[in-house]
Amino acid sequence: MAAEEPNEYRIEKLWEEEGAPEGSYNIPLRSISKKELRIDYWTGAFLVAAFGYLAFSGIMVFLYYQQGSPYLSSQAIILGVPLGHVILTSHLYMAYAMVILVYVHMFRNYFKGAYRGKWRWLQWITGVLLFILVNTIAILGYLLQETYISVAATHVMELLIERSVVGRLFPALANWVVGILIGNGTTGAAFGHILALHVTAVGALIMLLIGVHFFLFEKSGPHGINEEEEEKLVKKKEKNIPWFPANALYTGFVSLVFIGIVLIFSALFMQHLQTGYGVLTYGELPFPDWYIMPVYKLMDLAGYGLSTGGVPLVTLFFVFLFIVPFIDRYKESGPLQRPMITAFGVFFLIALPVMALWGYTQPGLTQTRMLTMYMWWGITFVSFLTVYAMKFAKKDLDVS
Amino acid sequence: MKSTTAIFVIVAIQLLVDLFMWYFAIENPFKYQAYWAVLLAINVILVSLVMLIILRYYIKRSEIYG
Repeated sequence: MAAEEPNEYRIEKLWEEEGAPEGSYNIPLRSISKKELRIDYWTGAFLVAAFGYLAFSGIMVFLYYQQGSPYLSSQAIILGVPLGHVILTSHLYMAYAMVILVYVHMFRNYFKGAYRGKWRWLQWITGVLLFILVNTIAILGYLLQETYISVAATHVMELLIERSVVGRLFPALANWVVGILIGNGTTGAAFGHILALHVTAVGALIMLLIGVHFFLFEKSGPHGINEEEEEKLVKKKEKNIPWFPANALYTGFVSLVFIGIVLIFSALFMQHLQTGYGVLTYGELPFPDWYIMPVYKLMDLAGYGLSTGGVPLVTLFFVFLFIVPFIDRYKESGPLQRPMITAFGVFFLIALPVMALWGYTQPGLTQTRMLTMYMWWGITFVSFLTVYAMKFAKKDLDVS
Repeated sequence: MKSTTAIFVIVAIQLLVDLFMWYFAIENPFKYQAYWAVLLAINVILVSLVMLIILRYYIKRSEIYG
């Protein structure tokens, strides 16, 4: 056996490459051109920053949260933990910001056609999975508060699972999923399960998928900087700048400004905990959180309700997102050069806020089938008309 | 302003902000938590400015020396 090397106590030696295998000290992350130092190329970095902050503030809140008495422990965090109110509020607002950003990030790449390319389809699919998981983790966090509305939402989720087409065809599977969500249904078991899903299961899945998504991004590079532009940069002798420190510093800069802004909002508008479950109140109409509102209103639409319409419509939305890279056969990648795809995007952009606003103004009010049809066809007409009008206007301008 | 001077000024402001954060946290962390959070946000944004200055310095230097 070879003699052991003596211990080395000079820590600064750790960074020396001497004796290390080749490539050990190269950060294997893509270098960037200065052109890429723009905020709209960094929407994904904002999401990672939001996730990081949520993990940090989530651990802070987790130390005080009790699954046996969720509402009271939430109140105790607000009233009895030093700086607890502001940390809980910032956890909530950062989650809101993350949900907004996941929409911004997705729609930006949707309209830009960033799902087109060798490996980009796979990046898009992992992105859609992340989109679903971010919404899931947000809803699970919302259920954890044990407010009047969140417990109602838990029951609705149970019903959705059991009465959906899948639930009716495979009742044992539905029971199993409900069992994962709420255990045997007692407060301790239900909130224990939801907490475990929120903190570990879905959180871990998101981390894993972020890794895959980021790897695929490194493989394909940012969309929109095409070969021509890169050639121009080479002609100008502009070299790419390495990931460290340039990219790391820029990511740190935008992430910290973003976290700072969310913290200011948290300080200015502290969270008001909604009425707890089981408390007798009058004249108070509890609303679900805004990002659930479109789905909440979808369930009201007559003939398109809980078991027949709402669930398939939401499912269709996600199915559409999954298959977009395969149905987009346009040759060019500009938004107006892919009018049908863009029109569908505009449709969702209009439909989501319309449904949310409708939900706030007429919650729980069943709509007639006629009104529902008017609304859907109205939105469809507006979205397709505007996109095709712009396409033809651009064509005319280009000719003249 | 030279990059190092700008960083010194920012760090000096941060130290001042830290003093107030310390005071609010000691005095009444319930009543003053909103002020504390605003100061934390200022602190975080100042750190980000330091990063931006280093980035600008790095890019400028790499333009000159390659």
